[in-house]
Order: sequence, then C-alpha cells, then structure tokens
Amino acid sequence: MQEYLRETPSIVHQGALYLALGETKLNPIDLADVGKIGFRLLQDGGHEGHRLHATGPESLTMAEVADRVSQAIGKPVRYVPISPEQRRQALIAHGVPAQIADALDKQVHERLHGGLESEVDLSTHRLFNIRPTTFLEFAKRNAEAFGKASAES
Amino acid sequence: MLLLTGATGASGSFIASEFVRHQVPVRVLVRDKAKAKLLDNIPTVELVEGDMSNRSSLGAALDGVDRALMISTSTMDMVETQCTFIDASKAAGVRHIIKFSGLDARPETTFPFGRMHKDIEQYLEASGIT
Repeated sequence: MQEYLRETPSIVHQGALYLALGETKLNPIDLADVGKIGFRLLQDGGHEGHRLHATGPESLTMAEVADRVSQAIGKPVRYVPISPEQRRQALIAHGVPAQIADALDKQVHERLHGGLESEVDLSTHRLFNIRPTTFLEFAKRNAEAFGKASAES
Repeated sequence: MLLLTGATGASGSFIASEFVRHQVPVRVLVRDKAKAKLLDNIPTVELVEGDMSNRSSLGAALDGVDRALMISTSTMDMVETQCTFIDASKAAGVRHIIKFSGLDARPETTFPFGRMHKDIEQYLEASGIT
C-alpha cells in the first residue's frame, strides 16, 4: 500500500489520483503486514523450499482506493485514469530513471490486461495469525501524509 | 545468528522495526551506517557494513549466520547483486535464505523486475541452500 504514498502530491494539491490502471483491480498489502511476516519467517525459520504468497485483504479498483483515501482525510479524492505513456512521462518528469520508468511501464501494461496479481491470498497472514490491514486502516494511519489537516492540540 | 538485508528500504525497514519491537537480536547489513541512523544504538541490533554486490565485503556480515532474509534495491543489476550474496552466503555456511519476491515473478511476465526475481529464485533453488 505504501506505493500510494508516492502519489500524495496530486492527492494533496488536486484531490486527484492519476494512474494508468483503467478499471484494473489490485490487492495491495500494507508493508507493516509484510514486516510482521518477514519477522516471523526470519525469526522462526522453517518453510524451506516453499513459496509463501501474501496480498492485501481486498481487491480494489483505483476509484475504490481514491474513495478510501477520501474517507480517511475527509476531503474528496477522485481517480483520474491516464494513459500508460502519460504515466511514463510523469515518472520521468519526477526524476525516475528512464530504465526504471520503462520497467514500470511494462508492469502497467501487464496489470491493464488483467493481472497476475488480482487474487487475494491471505494464507501467509493466517499461517502467522496476522490480521490483514485494510486499505481504509492504512489510509487513516497515513491521513496526514494524504493531506488531512493535523489535529489541533 | 539471523541476518537481515535491505533494512533501510521500504519493506525491510518494517521488518527491522518488528525485530526492534520484539527485542529479538538480529544482525543488519547496510552499505553505509550513516544511512541507518534509526537502527543505530539499539542494543538488540548489530549493524554491519558491507555491499551485497561485493563478495569480499561480506565476511563480517555473514560470519556465524544461520539464516538470512534477502532484500535489495530494485536496480537493473539486482540479479547480479542477489546472486553474489547467495554465493557468499553459501561459502560462509548459511543454511537458509528467505528471498523477498513479487507475485508477478512468473516465467511469462514481461515486467523486468518480476523476471529478475524469477531468475534469482531459480538461482537460489539451484544453490543447495534451502
């Protein structure tokens, strides 16, 4: 989910989330969950030779992502679909090296064509008894970064 | 001894935080201690400098390590970096490496980093380390 924190400038200043993902659904995971999983894997050992899969608990369109950010900060946020080329140019304009922007462009095209990643898989969360963080919980925890006025003391 | 790499990055920093929170001893490999201030001066964290892409720099980091969790920056030389780390780990007697990958790390992916993760997974499986 933390990848959406890279989109905070347009969310904060324009109330807009610009991504080239059409109506694609993704199931982003909170890196705090990843931290808990990684801790248990490294501390406990085991699972040799196994692949463990982990995703977030919900498949969300980018409009649904924008809606959850909006709920968390109490301001309108809308998803604005852009073209893959506009996305690539925007990344380069923000200083992302061309090779990385090209790599991400391939990922965008792959995701647009119905992902390798669109199924929720919480088997690893269950294995370690970790409660999966929802996008709304993540957005609330990071509400200030997404542009919510800081609470007055 | 447990070793964590990539601990100054996005995912690794959350894993490092869990070790600190649970006060479980861990060694953390960093290229530059000055960039790991959040992990400095924590009694349960042993910071060791080394570069995953430079085998000869990893001696102190890998000494006595049973298990390592491997993460490195998504740069175009990620495969070389992580395979070098796997080779050095094998030579140092590390028994188990946990590799962080991506769900799009499948043979059919066109996403270069997905493919790189796939290549590293195959290298790790062939290395004899579990």
